[in-house]
Amino acid sequence: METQIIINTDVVQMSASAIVIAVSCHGIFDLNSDTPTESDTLPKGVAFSLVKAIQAINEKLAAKNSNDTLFDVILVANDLQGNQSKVVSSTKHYGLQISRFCFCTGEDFTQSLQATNVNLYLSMETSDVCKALQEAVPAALLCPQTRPQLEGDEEQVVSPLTVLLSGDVMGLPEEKLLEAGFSQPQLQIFRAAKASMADFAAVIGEMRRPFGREDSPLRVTLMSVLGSRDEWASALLTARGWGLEVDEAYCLAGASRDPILKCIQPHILCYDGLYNVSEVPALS
Amino acid sequence: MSLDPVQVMKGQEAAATPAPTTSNGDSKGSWESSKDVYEHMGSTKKPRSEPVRRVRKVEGGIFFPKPVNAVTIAVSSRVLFRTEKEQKVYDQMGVEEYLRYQVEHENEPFAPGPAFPFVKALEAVNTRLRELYPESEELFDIVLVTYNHAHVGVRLINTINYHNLFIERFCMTGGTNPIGYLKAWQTNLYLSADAEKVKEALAEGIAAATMFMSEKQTEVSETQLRVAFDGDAVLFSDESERIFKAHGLDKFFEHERENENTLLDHGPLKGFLETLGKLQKKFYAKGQRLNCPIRTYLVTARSAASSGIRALKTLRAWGLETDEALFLAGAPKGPMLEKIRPHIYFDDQMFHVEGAAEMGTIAAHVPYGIAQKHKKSSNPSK
Repeated sequence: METQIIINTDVVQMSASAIVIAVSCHGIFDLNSDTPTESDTLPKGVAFSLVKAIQAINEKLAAKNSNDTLFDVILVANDLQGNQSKVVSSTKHYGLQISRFCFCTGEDFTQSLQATNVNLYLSMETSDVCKALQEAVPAALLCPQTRPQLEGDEEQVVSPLTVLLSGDVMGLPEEKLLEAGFSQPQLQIFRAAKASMADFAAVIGEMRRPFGREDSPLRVTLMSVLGSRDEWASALLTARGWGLEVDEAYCLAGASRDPILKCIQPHILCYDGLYNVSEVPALS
Repeated sequence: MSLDPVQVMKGQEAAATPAPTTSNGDSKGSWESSKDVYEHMGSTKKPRSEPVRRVRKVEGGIFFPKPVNAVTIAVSSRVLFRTEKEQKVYDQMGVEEYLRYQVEHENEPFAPGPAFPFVKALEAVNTRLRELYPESEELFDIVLVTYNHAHVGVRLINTINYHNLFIERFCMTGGTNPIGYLKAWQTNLYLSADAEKVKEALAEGIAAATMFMSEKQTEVSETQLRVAFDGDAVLFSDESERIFKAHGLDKFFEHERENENTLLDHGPLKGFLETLGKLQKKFYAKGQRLNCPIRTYLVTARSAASSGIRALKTLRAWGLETDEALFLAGAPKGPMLEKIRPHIYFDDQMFHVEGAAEMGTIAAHVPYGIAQKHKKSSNPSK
């Protein structure tokens, strides 16, 4: 059970003060694709645009020439079984600003995350996110983008990195969840999510701060599905208290969240233990 | 409330494309069939980790209906409340200062705007509907859809609490175009201060109108919702309007007479009249015809004896009716509207909207059809 850390020599390594975001490579690349690929390049995954969006943030920060903290993206993979070289070469092919690769095997990936001082771990797998949260590693869900992505290497306008936070986690009392029929295991996840929420918000808040209201390469969205409007308002105030600038806010009051999520197209969803993310419709 | 969004919502279909643009005249099945489809969909298994989503009880025993079953009315913050002062800050000093101002005045509720009486009346209808049909989700559902950033959210909630409004659904897009959200909410009617957004909504098949604040506002009923519609280019298409504009009044009369038995094509507000009619029937079914809290009016420049006949025949063929039909034969609409006192009056011509507003009627402009190219306004439009 050994973890391999490979440095991407194509990319300048960042300082230790950078915010480390560990992204699961499933989703960045399509590892299960049937389409034959030329050479060693994997096709883009449904969450590929996340890396581009973070790059855009770094570029804007660098252009401002300030001392703002940059974002260090590393790729994490568990049990890749021989695809490691493809992941590395694909990263270089697309020119992704990924500084390191962390190839884990077996169950040790959360330990690897802790060892690498990760500030945020992103995965498309709910179970991985839950595991990380329970080991006190801040984690969130990586969301598939349903906006059509351009094939091949064409550059497209990068939409801002969109982060979705749960107003329910921030504003709902547990009694209400029990009333809604939540089981104990679900409540456990909810509590773990709530505990890491403040840290998560701190990371995101710091990312958001250098930018103004308009043309920000990072947008923070808050959405309440179950909560009433007053609970939603208290979530907004909580975010403000954490120093987190929220751009968009939605209160659904029990309406289905899928159509709204489709409009928001978040890259990162703060997992709240309330809903299974597979509800988000996949690429058409 | 069309069928396709339901399928998209459940992610059942492989084609996860957005709902096709339904023009409002196209009644995509009745409510009953929509509900059947939804219930059928609901019976297919959901992912096991998902909790039972039966959050129907909120304080006061009032629950919030599923958008597919409800009549969704989306209103922007600028028409629900008066925000002229804040708008000025935005225009003169930019967005950052505007948001700072809003947060600073967070505990000061906004005053009611032009759509406020309409929203209050919708709530009055809901109260009556709940009395008669306690389990039904066929209610008005009001969603606040605004371009505003989340910073303004707290002030909006404070204002809603202050005025005792029953709005629980919010959509603050923080500068993103709200049109996608209007479709996601299956909006039946969108009211905004921004004519561009209204035009976009109309182009997507959503009934929409622009509202303006007028200084004079006559009192309206608190117990009966009154909605008045112009005929051409509102309930009906603008085809006859085009003849009139191109060839004059005589040709218009001739054309209407010749085509008396041809149905007019539908206009952008036809669907909304239809949904009002369905709700009215629910009251009639419980013996509330004389006491119905919804009343609709057609206020048209057509004349009863001639060009009006085609309009009536069309309505009848559509299975629609208005409680009152006023054929003004070209006479000014202002005095008639002043008598009706609608909570909202839809017209495609700014000239009429302004005329109505001068007499205190709450009028909304539907920027649709040929009249938009021949603006005949008594004052520069604001």
